[in-house]
Amino acid sequence: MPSSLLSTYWYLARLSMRNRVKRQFRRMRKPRYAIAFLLGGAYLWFIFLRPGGAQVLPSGGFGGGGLEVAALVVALFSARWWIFGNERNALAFTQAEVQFLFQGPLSRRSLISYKLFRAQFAILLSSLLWTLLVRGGSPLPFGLRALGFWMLFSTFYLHQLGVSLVRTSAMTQGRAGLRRNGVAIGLFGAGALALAWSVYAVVPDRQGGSFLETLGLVLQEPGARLALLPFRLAMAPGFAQDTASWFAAFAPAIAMLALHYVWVIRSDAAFEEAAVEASAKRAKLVAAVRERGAFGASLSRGKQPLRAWLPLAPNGTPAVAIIWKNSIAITRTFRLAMVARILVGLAIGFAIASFNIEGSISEFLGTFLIAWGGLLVVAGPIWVRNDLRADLSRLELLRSYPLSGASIVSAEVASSAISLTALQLSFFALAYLLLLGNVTIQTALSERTMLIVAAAAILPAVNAIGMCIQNALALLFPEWGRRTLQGAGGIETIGQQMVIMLGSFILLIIALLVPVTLAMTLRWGMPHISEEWSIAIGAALALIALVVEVLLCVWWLGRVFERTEPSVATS
Amino acid sequence: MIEVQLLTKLYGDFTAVSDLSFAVLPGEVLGLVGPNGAGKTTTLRSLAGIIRPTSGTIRIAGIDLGANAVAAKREMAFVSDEPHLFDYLTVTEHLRFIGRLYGVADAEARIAPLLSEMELSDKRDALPDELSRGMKQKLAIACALLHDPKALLLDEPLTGLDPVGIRRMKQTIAERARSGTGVILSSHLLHLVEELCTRILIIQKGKLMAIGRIDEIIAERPQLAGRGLEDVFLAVTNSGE
Repeated sequence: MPSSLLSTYWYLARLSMRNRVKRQFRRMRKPRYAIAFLLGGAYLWFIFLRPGGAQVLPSGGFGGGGLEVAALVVALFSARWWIFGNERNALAFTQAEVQFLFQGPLSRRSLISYKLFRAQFAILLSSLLWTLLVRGGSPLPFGLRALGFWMLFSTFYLHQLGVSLVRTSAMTQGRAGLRRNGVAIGLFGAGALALAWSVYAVVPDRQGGSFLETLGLVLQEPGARLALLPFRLAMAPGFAQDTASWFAAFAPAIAMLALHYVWVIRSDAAFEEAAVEASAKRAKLVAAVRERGAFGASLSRGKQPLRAWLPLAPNGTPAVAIIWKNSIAITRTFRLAMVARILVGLAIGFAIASFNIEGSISEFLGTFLIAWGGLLVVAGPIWVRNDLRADLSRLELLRSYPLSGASIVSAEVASSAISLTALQLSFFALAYLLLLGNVTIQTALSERTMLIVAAAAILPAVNAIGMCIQNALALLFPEWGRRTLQGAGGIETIGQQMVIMLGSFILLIIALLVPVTLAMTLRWGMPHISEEWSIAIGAALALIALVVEVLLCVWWLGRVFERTEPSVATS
Repeated sequence: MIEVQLLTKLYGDFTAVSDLSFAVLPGEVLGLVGPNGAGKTTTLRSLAGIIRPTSGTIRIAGIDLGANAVAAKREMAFVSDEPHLFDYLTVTEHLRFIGRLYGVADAEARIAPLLSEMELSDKRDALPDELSRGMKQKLAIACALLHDPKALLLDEPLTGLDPVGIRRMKQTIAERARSGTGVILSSHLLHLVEELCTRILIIQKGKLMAIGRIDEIIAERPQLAGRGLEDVFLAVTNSGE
């Protein structure tokens, strides 16, 4: 790479980093960001730097047999890249890089050099973190451990990039592309065949043997050993038990790295078009994650939008339109129709099974579903985000609507509370059906029935409280609610997530304190009434208290919404 | 239709708009022009009820925006320079959504002609992802027109439109004004402002520099006699060479 080009890349990286750090420090003048930074720093210190250190590995390093298995895992990843592609991760540039570098006077090789240069920042950071993470379990000096990880991550990155370039070349240039990359494709094909042959040679004779034993035999086959050799060579320094074996593994590992570098840098694949497409997809995914969270963004929608399954009358309470809009969004994101079909199928199967299958299985599944339904009271409001958090980038638009702040907030909160409640109730209903024919558990069927009715009555209000807390955090700390794939906030973001998780939990506990106390007081104060009536009246009292809390929360949040400057929330 | 008195908006120590007063009558198209950062968008956002003015009063169709924001917003529509659409609603669903928000009883009957006017009939079931920038802008404008607002606030409404779209949009704005809507049009396209607007308001650094018909503004500056809006704008804002 010409030194002038390298200095240009360095200039861009250095100034970007400097300005990012400056902006972060400027933001820390506000106590809420400073606290998040301190908390994030404390967490990282605890995980990576505290005396004694974290030890994710057994004493003595990764151990001998681990290298074979790890090589196989990485080989399988590699096979996935070869067969299904990984262009979105390997070839993606930022939108600004596409804008300025792709139209600049730079050759393809220069663009690839830039990509490698940029990747080094993430690779160096990953190497450092892994070195710190395993310091308690590795007998090697710090420098050797770090260098081992750097070589390993760099080789894998180059491999990923090389595979993407080969695939792009084959797709854009057809036979010529295949011919040009014949050696790489041939090596991959030979390795895959050798691995498949080893499996074929061992598995048919191993009827009834354990999986791990069979795997061990497959990995000892000559074909498998040969196919996994490049992976073992690249990973060997990380598995070295002492300094001598590390040095012995160093030369082959660095040779693998050099080979990959030459392979990638000499590639002349016309990757620009694929890179632009991958960059656009990645930018879109980042935006989707920021709006809807990783779970919502990961589920792609079909080419044709589903017909809206909910009608919307032109007359009536205007705020209902917002619930309608959010419900449509969630059906188009999550394919609810398919989920509903699966749930109905499971429900019928579980109900039949509850009468026939061994009680322990249905009890286990039922308990599992109830536990998940309960867990969702705490985690659900963080995961389900089809409310103000998804609309934060359109705050200006919402503010222009002829609705009061409280109306908008109540509709937004109701949208995600309804979605979450539907999910929890389907879990509880399935658990109810699983335990329908069970006569061994202590809670009588009538009590279970009353409990599920009480849950149906109370859960919407409980979830509404949880959603109010999350929406309040999004409005009061808009910068915190935003998520990104690229870790824009660093240490501060870790602290923010900790504060959000912990704060949400504490606020939820406080909010549930009064309703739960009311319900429990009734239970203790009126011992003579039946269990079913105690559940019913307790639930009713708790519900009244919850509704009052939700109304107060929505009224307050509505005022916050009206006072929030759209530029602050969306900038 | 739109009355603004002593509108001021501060961001900390920075004055974005200062003591701005003007009125737009029914059927009038007021061109809001000014250099970058003059306070045009802040003014329009204040009028739309999106941001709260630091001081001053705004009345839309006689309703005080500060005292009764919901009723005032029901009488107006705002089209921003960047179309904000919902990712998961189709073109028709956007209009149904707006119909419910503004209580348009005959929304279904209005949707088809509006889509035809905006040349979006073929895209009625498309999601925003499938629309070009210009189509998104047209959809945003269609949403603004569905409830027949008495006051229409347009911030660079022609951005991204093709020549045919621009001509159509000019006709639409003129027709709405003829039917009694008070329009404020903010744009850097001075020839468009000159062609469409009955009066011009020039602001700079948040302050009103001139207001009136072009000939009225020129009459106060005899040296500009016979010149067009571009020269008037440069002279008033001291932006010329």
